[in-house]
Amino acid sequence: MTLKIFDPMLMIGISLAVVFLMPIWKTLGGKKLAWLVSVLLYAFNTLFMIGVSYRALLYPEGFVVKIGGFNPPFGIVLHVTLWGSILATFVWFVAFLSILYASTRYDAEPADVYYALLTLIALGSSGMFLTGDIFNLFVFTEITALAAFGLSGFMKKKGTSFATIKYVIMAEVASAFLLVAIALLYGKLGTLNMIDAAATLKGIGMTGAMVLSVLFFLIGYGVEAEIFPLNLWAPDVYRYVPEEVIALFISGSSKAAAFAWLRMWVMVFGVPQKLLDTMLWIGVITFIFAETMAYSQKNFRRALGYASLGQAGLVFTAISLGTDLSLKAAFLLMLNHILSEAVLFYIAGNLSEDGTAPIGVKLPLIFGFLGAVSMPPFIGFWGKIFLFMALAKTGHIAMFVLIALFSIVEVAYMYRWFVKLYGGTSQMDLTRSLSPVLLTLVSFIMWFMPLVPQAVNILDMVVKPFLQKGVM
Amino acid sequence: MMFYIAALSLIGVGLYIVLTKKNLVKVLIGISIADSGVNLLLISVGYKNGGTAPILVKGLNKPMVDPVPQALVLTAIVIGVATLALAMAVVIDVKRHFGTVELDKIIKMMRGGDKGDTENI
Repeated sequence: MTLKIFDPMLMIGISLAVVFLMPIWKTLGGKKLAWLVSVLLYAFNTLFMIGVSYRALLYPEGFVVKIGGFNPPFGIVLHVTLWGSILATFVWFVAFLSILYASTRYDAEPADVYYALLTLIALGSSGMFLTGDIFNLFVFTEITALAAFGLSGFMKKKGTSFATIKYVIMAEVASAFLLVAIALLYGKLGTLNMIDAAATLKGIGMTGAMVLSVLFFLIGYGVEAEIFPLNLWAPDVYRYVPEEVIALFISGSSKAAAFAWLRMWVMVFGVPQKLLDTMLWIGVITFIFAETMAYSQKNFRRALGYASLGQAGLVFTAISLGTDLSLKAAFLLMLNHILSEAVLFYIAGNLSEDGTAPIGVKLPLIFGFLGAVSMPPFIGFWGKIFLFMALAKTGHIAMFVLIALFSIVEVAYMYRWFVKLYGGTSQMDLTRSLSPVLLTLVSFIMWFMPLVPQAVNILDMVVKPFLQKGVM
Repeated sequence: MMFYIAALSLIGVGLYIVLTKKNLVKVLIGISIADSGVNLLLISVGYKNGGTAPILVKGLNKPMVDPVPQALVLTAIVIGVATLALAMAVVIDVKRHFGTVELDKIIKMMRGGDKGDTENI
């Protein structure tokens, strides 16, 4: 039982302690110490979350951690699943890369607050991945959102201030909807524990109040998960906010919101059939809208922002379909999106005057672009194939065709950008190029994942806790 | 029932302000009103007519109100205050850069600046 030490609460507690003590680190050793402590924390958390993921491998339905000694459903619990812990590992890994990258950012002052916000967004989103309680999920959502607002407006430039206020207003209205959804759910079911709520709901069935609750959850998480038309804040934020923060938005807040939607829609509500088509179309329309907009962009970061919305739409469709294959697709697409898009954003921050990429990051550039359009060796390719198979199996041919068509649009503009960016000769700061190179290394290892037989079992393990037992 | 009507109308008023007003400060006021409505809704979910505070004491023979929504609302209020303060800070930043907090004017200014948005840095 030595694996018991991999208790995710430890990770959350230590991270919070480090954040609260941030002013002390700064008085003791200045900006350098604050940075060093954060780097050590992120490295530790990444390794720790790998341990947690390993522990989760042993429990097919995920394991439950009690908090404060209260038994569920009365106390708050963490429900650690393999999917959640793998994504949380990636959040901390990307946070680690981002803080390495941020060591060269001298205009972020006060630096200790900047590092504290980076820690908080990673902490909040990993909490969203791990929690098993609906209100706890709301609290972590708000922690993530607050840190995201802070980071988004941190540079106090003209562009960021406008982008941030749009983001804040949309996310705030969304959080009000989220609370109403929780109130409706609690009023009907009398419980906030997800597993318990799912069991209770099975006995009651989808009443009108529950349908309203689902829709409000959709609005609540749609803003962060970048679902059309709630994603209109995103392109501006992606255009102006520093790239290391965007990498965390991609791996942290937007993935965590998609995962929260997975929790509510698939696990608690059990994929209500009468709303299924609406949800699928919302995802597909998000994808179509994003790819059309991305095609006509003249700024690389804006184009990447829209491409990122497109991926979010695909993930949303895959999650909403809720079958075995589509959930696997959602998992692979999420990983692919983190691995490819984050790399491209790290590079996009370092383009030279003539708009070409530096010479040191040629390989990450190729990998990033191939991953972004889901080309064969990458896991995104398997993700898309699984999604197509799942759509065909359930008879959603129109969506199949539309997604295939607009994937071609995606390849077209991505190729255009690749030609424009490739072949630069400028030099890049070594510490800055470290982050995209390390991330590319991980995606290189991920290449082989679908080829290893054990990995197929892991995929089965990943989706198992969420597979519906045919509720309604 | 009264509480529900009050809560829903507060949320409605708040959302109406958010959707129609151009002034960013007014929009934030609208969000704040909607938040109060949501909090009231949460409280009324756990309300019982004639109930007392949910504390166990000897000789208690009245029904108790549900303590969970009260705990939730406490958290929600704190979160709401924090986000509102942060949003106001961002509005101050907007005012510093654009010289106005009127949304339509800001959008017009951003459009004008966007024409040069072809550079890649």
